[in-house]
Amino acid sequence: MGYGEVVDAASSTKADIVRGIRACRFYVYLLPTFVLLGVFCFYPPILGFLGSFYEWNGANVKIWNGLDNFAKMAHDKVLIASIGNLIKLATFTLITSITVPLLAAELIFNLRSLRAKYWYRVLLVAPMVVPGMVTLLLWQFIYDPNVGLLNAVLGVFNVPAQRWLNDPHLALYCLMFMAFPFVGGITVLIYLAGLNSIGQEVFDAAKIDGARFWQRFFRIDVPLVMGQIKLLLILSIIGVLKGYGAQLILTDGGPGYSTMVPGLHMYHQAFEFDHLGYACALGLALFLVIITLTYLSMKIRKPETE
Amino acid sequence: MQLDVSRAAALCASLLIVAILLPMCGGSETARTDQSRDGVGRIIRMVAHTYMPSDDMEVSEQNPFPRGAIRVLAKHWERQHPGVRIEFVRIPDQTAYVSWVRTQCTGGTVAEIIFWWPPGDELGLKEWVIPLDDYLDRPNRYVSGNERWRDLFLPVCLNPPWKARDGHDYFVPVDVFMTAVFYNKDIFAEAGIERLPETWDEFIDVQERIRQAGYEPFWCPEMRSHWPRSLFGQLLFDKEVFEQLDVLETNGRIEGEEAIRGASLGITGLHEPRFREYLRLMKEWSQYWKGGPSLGGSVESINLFLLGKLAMVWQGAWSLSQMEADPYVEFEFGLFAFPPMTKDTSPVASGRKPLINASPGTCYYVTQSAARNGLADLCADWLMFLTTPENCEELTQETTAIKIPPAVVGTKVAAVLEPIMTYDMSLLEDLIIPWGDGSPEALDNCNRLFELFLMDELDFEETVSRMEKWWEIGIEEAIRINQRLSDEQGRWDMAKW
Repeated sequence: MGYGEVVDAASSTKADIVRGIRACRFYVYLLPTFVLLGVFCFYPPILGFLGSFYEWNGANVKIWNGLDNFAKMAHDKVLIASIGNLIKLATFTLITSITVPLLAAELIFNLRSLRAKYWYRVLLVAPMVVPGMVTLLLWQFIYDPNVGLLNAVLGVFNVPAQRWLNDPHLALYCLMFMAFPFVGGITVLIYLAGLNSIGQEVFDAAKIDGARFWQRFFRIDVPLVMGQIKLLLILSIIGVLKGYGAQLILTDGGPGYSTMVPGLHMYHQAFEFDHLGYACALGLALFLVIITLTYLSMKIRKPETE
Repeated sequence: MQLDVSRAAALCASLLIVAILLPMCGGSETARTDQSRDGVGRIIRMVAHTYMPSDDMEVSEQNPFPRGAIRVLAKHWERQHPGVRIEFVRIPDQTAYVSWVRTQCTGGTVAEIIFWWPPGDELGLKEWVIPLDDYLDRPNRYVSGNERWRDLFLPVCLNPPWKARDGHDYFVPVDVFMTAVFYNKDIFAEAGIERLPETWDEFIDVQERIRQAGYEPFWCPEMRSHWPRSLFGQLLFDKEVFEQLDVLETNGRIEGEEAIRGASLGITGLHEPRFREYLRLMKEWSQYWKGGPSLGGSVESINLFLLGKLAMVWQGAWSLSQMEADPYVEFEFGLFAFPPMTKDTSPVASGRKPLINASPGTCYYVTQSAARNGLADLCADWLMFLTTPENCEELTQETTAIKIPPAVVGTKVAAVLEPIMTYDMSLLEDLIIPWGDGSPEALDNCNRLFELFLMDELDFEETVSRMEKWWEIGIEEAIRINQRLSDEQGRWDMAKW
């Protein structure tokens, strides 16, 4: 090795070190993000996972009890009742949240006027600025058995007043209906984006072949927005399984257990009954169910666009 | 640069020293009061709370219930005590009152007389307030013939249930919290009801007649709380049961340990006929509730009463003047006390006229500031002056302000309060029907099952059987948690049970 090569090797090593140090700088810049992610996003679930194997009141009692919390679930009548409610709620929510926005998106997509399309999109997105809590309280007023809007309207047609959220046979359906008219702004926009991405030549070809609206809808539109359907299906599953806001605010799972869902049961166990260990186990079980259902959703036949 | 840092550090240190020394130069609150003691005037600072005099006595929309009586009474008292002045302390923020008092007590700057909730265990334990037993055992010199000041108060206010854990009396009550049935006199007249119900059966009959007249009979927004259990505790349980429970610390109240002991020994429980009667009678009564037999009801029930669409509402008596001042109330209304239950209604009825949720209301405590500044006797004297029947009337029945049931026997009350002052005020035991005692989960589930029972979703036997399971779970959990307490003193000695 000549002198020149030695010098080159030395300068190359030096350059590597400088490059390495420079690269390290960028890792250091990323560090706070990952530290915060770790503390606030990864540590709590890990703590929850570990907590599910303890009898834990969140304070001074933390005793290892192995799989007892999971065994307890099998005999938990409240949980079993809440799963029944969840199945009804999830079925209704999934059907309405997938189909109705698609129909709404089709209607908007097929409008001839670009201006009209624009305004319908704006009108769909505008309600999203209203806080969820306001919507819930509005529905609480609508369902109020004494001064509520719904009973007042029924009264005009001489239909007897109902107890709505106070009726164990109606309460769950009242909660389902709260999503009316079931066209969430974002879902319609997602479908519209999917429909817009279908090439015009496909529609032209369908037209030449004499396809009618419904034939085009089922044979072209639906297969080509399957990616969006899958996405919304997964989001809806996650939302409905872990959601309990409406129940917490409006019914607290009642009357009796008629609107209880696993998420609310978990919340009660953790923050009202001080059974944090059991709540962690419920949370872990919910997580596994969500992961499984999400995986199964991913297995739905691949969309034509993929 | 180094020099600058040193200078900056020196400057900061100097500022810190000045900041520490400056307040010292001003003298402490104690020193100021001590000075005033030796000087011309002595000041008793008082947090009057409910009776805080208003700045403006003119009634307006912004100032609907002005108070000024205590200021007038203070002037009278000051004339009899030259050189002493009562100064009313305005609290900075109602919601932060607890923290404010704790901070002031810790710092030794608290007013000489403060408002606090009974029985004042925390304040007494920390010696922030002084025991008033000796004063209460002396005559109130402003009431002729009175031998012991404490005899002036309603028994429900100053007796064992309200003694602090150390056995002392730390407060002087001025008024009483209690609940009452507010009723719409116009609807009663329309339904042909000429007199108020005197027994539970009559009470149910009144509701039936109101329904037949086309009105909603009854509602209470607190049906989910302990209120109905407290009502039926009085209607169904006699002193004998209470005495079987109040045994570990015979103080006139059922402590947590005593409730668990009672439940685990079977003194209380769903096998007990009185609990079964509670379920039956509540179901019968619930048929007359607005919106049907549900513990939830409407958030707007009170407004329905104010709008004249509901015949009766069970509310705190403190709501009285708000209702009187409400612009929507276009009918005449009155108050009455729940009637007793006779053996005709239930074989286990106690026959007692229930006094529900009654407790000392506004309570005044004399603080260590008063003791330290030699003002304790004067504070007690001022409180004696306030609690003569005449002065208590001035205070609690002030024309412009909310009328409050007084704590002093013999105080004249506004006509609207008279029917509820017929409660049996000598009743000391407040027995709330035990309900899934021991764990919040058991309590919650008992409530849910009870609601389903009221709605006919569960039959009697199934309700009882499922509630009994939760009852057992609750007791087991309470014992388990208690026996694991790290603080040995807090653990129950179950051998004593």
